[in-house]
Amino acid sequence: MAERTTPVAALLRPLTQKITWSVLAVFVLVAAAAPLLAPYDPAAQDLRNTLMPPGPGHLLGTDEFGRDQLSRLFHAVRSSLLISLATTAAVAAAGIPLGLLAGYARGFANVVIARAIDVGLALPSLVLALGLIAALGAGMRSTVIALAVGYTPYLARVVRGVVLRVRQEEYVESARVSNVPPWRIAVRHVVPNTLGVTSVQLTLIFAFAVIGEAGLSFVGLGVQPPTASLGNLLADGSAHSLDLPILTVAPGLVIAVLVITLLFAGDGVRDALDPRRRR
Amino acid sequence: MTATSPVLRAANLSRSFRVRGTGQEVRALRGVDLTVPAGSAVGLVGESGSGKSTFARIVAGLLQPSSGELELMGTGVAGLPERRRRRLAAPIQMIFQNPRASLNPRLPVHRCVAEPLLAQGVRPARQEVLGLLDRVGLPARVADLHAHELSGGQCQRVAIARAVAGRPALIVADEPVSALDVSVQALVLNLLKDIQEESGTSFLFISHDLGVVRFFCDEVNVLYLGQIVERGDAESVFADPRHPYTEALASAVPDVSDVPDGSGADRSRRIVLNGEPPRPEQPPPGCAFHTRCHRRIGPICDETAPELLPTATGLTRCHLRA
Repeated sequence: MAERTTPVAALLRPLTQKITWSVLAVFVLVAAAAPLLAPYDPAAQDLRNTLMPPGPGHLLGTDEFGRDQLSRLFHAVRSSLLISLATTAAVAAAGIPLGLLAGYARGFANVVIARAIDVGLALPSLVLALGLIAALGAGMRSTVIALAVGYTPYLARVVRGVVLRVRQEEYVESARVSNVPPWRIAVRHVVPNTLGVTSVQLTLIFAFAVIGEAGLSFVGLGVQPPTASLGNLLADGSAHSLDLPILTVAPGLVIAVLVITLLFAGDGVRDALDPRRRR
Repeated sequence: MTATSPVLRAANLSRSFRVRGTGQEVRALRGVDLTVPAGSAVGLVGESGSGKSTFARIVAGLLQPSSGELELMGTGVAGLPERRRRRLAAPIQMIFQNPRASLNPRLPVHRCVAEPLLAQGVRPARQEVLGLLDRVGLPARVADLHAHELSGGQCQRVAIARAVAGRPALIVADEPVSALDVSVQALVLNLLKDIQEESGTSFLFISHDLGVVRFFCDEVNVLYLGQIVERGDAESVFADPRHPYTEALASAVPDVSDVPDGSGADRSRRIVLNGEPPRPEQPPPGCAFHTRCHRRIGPICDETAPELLPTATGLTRCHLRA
């Protein structure tokens, strides 16, 4: 019998993917173990030691309330990843069924769903998020809802497009001629062949959510202080970006590395899920 | 008359498509009559845009006709509810032009082959699938491969195994060898021919290649702009075409006997048609072929549409009919 590699082995074969998933594993570890890893309580103020430069006691220095920046960064990664994960899960839960429905609907329903998606895309996600948070009140839950509502149309549109394409493939027509019931065609042929594109889009949305959370928290509408998030850290540090740049550089760098890693992860997932590339 | 009804009978079958935006109608099929008797192979030839694939897709149930009658196994399809129609069309399978695209890239070959049986509520044993693969000349190890690991010819063999799995009464083969290398074409054609002769399955064989159709089919129908312009048994249509369009098609088939002397004398038999086929949204008045015809006899061709009428060997739609 032919040799077949497991999807995980296929995913991790390229060196870039080994690095990518190692970095992501470190992020997940930090997020999960933040309370154990953090040397200090991230909210504990020490007003005698404010705005300390990096040193032996505080590896990344302290902020204007004397809070340990490294501890805050660990907890920020925790809350930002949690928010992004929840957002991505919500987008998947709403966007995939919506996209499948839009791809399958005919006639009036098709027009209604397709236009609704277009309207969702026409509204700038961040402005939409601002409006929703204004209505819901700021907080972690509102941040997730606001971001998820903003990003769902992007996923739905992509899924719809793939469904429309796959439905015209000859193997689908071939199944129709063979009297395969429509639900089985959907489950066996259409949905599996949308997975590649969908998962890449989801990693992209995960990355967007990291940036979106940071943006909302930066303007004070996302995660509320004293809870640390990557956006909060940027906001708190921005007043001192000239005298103590480490306060903004550290969370900024973390955001950049996280987003880039997620984009690489998306490429890897796509390649691993495409049977034509898997060997 | 035999008691068995034909597997397929189309009467005055038409299909129009609305061109999005312009509101224009393209009449892809214009009143096609065609019968596939049980156990025979009927060919449909024509250039791209002639409507041959539209006809194939209607027969396979992928498209609905705009008007006309379609009978499968002696029962009219028109007006039947979807479920009944699907059950009636169950003994039909289709082979597509692009062998790789007709196999789901995510499924191993054995699942592709078993699909029509599963749709009939039968879960085939692995041995049965291997038997089907063996029948199309593929080794057992292919069963666990995916389409991208096979050659085009192997993919088409898998598609053929899949098509014959459910013992269909009719196989619609839409350009089944056009995408293959010439050497592989012959092998796949021979395979199809063997299957047809062994199992007695009827074929509706669609191709733009008259030579392939001549080899495979008992009867040939030539389609031009959605109308049948000539019909007859394969040998006589090929050897003695009555319609100028068929004549031109037949002259374009390379013949080994042309080559050796190299004098070029035989080459002069080659009829080269002028220009492209007319746009199907505006078929020319009179005979649809008069704009490109090398035997145009006069104003009658431009003004009066000829009927499909009997000749010594079949039917032809031409004022020249002898």
